[in-house]
Amino acid sequence: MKKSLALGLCALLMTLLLAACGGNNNEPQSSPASSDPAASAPAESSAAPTESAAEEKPVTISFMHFKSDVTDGVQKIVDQFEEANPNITVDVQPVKYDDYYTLLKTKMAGGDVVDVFTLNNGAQTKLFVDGGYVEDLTGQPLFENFDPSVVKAQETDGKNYIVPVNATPIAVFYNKKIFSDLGIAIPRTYDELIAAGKKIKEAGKTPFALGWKDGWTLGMWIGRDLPSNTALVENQPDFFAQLETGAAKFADNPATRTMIQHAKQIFDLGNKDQLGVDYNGVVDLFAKGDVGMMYMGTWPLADIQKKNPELYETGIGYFPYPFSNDASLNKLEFNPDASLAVGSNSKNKEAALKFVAFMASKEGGDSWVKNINSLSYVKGASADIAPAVTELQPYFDNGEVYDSQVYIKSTIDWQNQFVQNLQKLFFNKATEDEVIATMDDWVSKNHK
Amino acid sequence: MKKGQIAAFAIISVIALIFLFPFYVAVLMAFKTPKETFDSFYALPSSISFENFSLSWKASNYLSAITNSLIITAISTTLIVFVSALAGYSIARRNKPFYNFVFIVFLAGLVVPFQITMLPLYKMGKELSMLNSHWGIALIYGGFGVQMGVLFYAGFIRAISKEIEEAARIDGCSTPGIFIRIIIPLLKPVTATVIVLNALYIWNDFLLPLLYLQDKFYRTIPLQQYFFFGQYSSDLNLAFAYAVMGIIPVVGFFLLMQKYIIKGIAAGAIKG
Amino acid sequence: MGNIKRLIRGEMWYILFLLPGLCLFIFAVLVPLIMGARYSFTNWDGLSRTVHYNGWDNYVRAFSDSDLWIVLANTFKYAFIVTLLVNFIALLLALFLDSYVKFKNGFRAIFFLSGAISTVLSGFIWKYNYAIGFPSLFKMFGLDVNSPLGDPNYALFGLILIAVWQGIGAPMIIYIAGLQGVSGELVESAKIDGASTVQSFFHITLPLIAPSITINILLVLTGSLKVFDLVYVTTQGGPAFSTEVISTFIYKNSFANFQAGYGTALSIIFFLILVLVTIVQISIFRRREVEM
Repeated sequence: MKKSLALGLCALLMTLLLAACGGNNNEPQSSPASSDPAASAPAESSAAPTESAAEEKPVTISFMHFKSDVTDGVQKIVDQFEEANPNITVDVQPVKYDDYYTLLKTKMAGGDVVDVFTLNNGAQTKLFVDGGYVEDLTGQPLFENFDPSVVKAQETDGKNYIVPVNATPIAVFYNKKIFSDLGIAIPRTYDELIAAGKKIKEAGKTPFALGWKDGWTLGMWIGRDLPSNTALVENQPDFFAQLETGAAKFADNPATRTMIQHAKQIFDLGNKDQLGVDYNGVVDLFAKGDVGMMYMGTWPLADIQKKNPELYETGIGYFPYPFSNDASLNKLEFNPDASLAVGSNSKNKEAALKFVAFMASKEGGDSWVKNINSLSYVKGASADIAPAVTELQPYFDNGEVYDSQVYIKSTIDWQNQFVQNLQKLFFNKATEDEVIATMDDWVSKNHK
Repeated sequence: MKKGQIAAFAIISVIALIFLFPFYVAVLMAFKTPKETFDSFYALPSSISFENFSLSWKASNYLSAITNSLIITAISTTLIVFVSALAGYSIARRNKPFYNFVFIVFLAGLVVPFQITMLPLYKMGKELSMLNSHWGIALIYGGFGVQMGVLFYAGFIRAISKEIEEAARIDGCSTPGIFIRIIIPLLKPVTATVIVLNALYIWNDFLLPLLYLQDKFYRTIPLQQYFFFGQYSSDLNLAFAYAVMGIIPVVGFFLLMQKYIIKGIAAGAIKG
Repeated sequence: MGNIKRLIRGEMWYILFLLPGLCLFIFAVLVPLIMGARYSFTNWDGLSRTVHYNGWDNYVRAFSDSDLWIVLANTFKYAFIVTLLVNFIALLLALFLDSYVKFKNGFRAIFFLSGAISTVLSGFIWKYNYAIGFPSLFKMFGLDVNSPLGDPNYALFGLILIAVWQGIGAPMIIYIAGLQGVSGELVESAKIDGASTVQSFFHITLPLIAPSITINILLVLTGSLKVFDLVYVTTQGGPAFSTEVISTFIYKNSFANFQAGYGTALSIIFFLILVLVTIVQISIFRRREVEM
């Protein structure tokens, strides 16, 4: 009796030992329903030939994107694709923008496969291209659906790795009633913008809805005011490339000071609790009609429509952000938002390409416009997204648009660092000179 | 004395109200429509409607998340209890340098910041295909939990008198026999502690699942919450309905197990 | 001969008992720790496939990194205040609950509950309350308040408040258990001898619950030095670095700044600091308990 007990326990211990130390050989495979391609297909050599042969075989591709504020809209576009391609299932993984790149990096560094994923043109794309994680799509027929200049602008090191999908103007929403009540004309220069803001403040209303609790809102503004002034006012289009190599410093660029002064002025004219209210909070504020202006892309429109339909229909206008005092330079900022990339280690490249091609087709482009209220780069896609946006039509018609993001090709993430340092300045915890010195110091530690 | 009682009751009630306030806001939000929230923050909803709940239930895979959380928590805590009790017994009863050294290594492990091991763990998980599986993450939790577990069990067993064991040994009982017949029945209170502390930690853990369970079919409750909040950041009422749904099982568990939880924590603290 | 055999057989069981736990530990903690420590001597960016060893460069850089000192100061400030507040309030509540309050179980449940929900959840609820809930509440009383998380001067305290709200439950229960071990007779007899409530608390109750204080301070301090989730889901270290703690700093360096090598070097330094803090704590408490 005692012996058998001891034996039993011994056996139990041994199994436990095996489970704990030796063995992952008896690990259950990940569930077939999930079909994570990474878990089930370890060797590249075995996968390639079978794929091409099995066109009709049902495949699942993973699609990770950062448009998580419009998850449902993206899902509708994906549904439309799945309907047209019944043998392809798309496993959509929306991730909050703030975490998106961290998660994507962890996955890639860990050898995971993501078939299709969104990237921002510029720094982030370059980083993933440098790591060898992005499939070269140069010369794919799908690029014929875009204007050549658009395709050119999305090149990385002279090649096309990403496909632009949706685009958005980044400009200033304004409350028409407040503007007309106070007799404010649409500002065409930076000084006029600030003068308008001051007038609104004197009238007891909030000039700017900022939402700078979120890092990205302030980061978005810095990442546009600074390159615009650097390249167009100070004529240093190569500044950010040189920053990366250590050949240029923020201190050498007068636009840095301009940007910092702008930031401080806008902060002072911002909503109460500037760094405590986030994006959703300011969209609420703006929708309530108490705020004069809000610097933003087209994303909040759907939300404003839900909360205050009347304001949405007739009460909002939209004008280009005047980053300088030269009205002829202050064109409309028009940026690609999400671009699509195919993972270089994808086992289902054909299906992935099909998916990307759909997104780049007229049908896909219209679907983006319809479902997520943003503009599309696809030639001939509809542009009717909201009443406020029609006000920008003259700029599009006259070609008075530009993209400040083409000037930023560095891979170091100085924008987030600048956000934190500017916040110091806002609360008088650092002077302008200290901010610039700290930034240069940080860049010198972090450039390659 | 009466006066003191009333004062104590008043103070504690005020603190309790402050503690409950965030919950109150969460529940309030969960029942309102966006329009109602937009119009007035503190007004009660015009009608009690469970629409937010049913919408977020539909949108969130709640059932799958809660199943994952339950499975992972159950496997991990069982593993931890089992291995820690065994190891704790060895350490408590063998007062030799080797065992003491192992004990100290376990303790030192407790302060290892997760950040060092994060990338290696992810790489290991990837190579051993432990990602996106209940067992994979449970093994890691086992390794994390065993450190604290051994601390509690060794402390508890040390306080148990050796006399009965010695008597049993003279009667011819072997070590495993002693452990099963004499020690295990005595371990109930400390086991409750180990289960409660680990279950709470594992149930609420965020970073390890973020790395290990990226497949949405394996997401646990906190992970699902996090992604849900990200996706419905502009639809706060839905997000709060989901938050309330996440609180309910914890409240239920606590109310059901209150006696054991409190006893467990108390016992662990005193003996450990 | 037979003796030795018996010895081995006797010892064998203990070793066997130890092994599963030890294996799990080696697998989940020790091996990754060593692998991680190796990265700290490289310039790996966390993404590229090539890694170069660069000796002690990362460590040298860490000690000249002024940000590290700011971050450490934040971390310790946070941890000390949280430890003090949590222990003070937990003990206070425990005293109330132990002595004369009705609905003991109900109150205990309330104070414990906030710690039982996930940090993701409490961070979400509090962030919203700070930004919109409290300001609109105070507005009803004509007060104009801002979210503390939006002001670098108060953001850390905003986080501390959440941490206290979350962290009070378990220490409170440990204190209640400790107080139950204090005999009422002792306190009563001291009172008969003319000691005031305060005096009897400091001279009788407090020394008797010293073990509870020790374990509570140890647990809360170590836990709050390692804080990550709370910061990550509420402020991400901002505004103006005012809530950047060591864990988020390491995380950012490893991932956002593509300096996995440097990030691990920082975390090794952090590990050594934690070991030091733990040793100091244990030795202080050991001495004090001996004195008593």
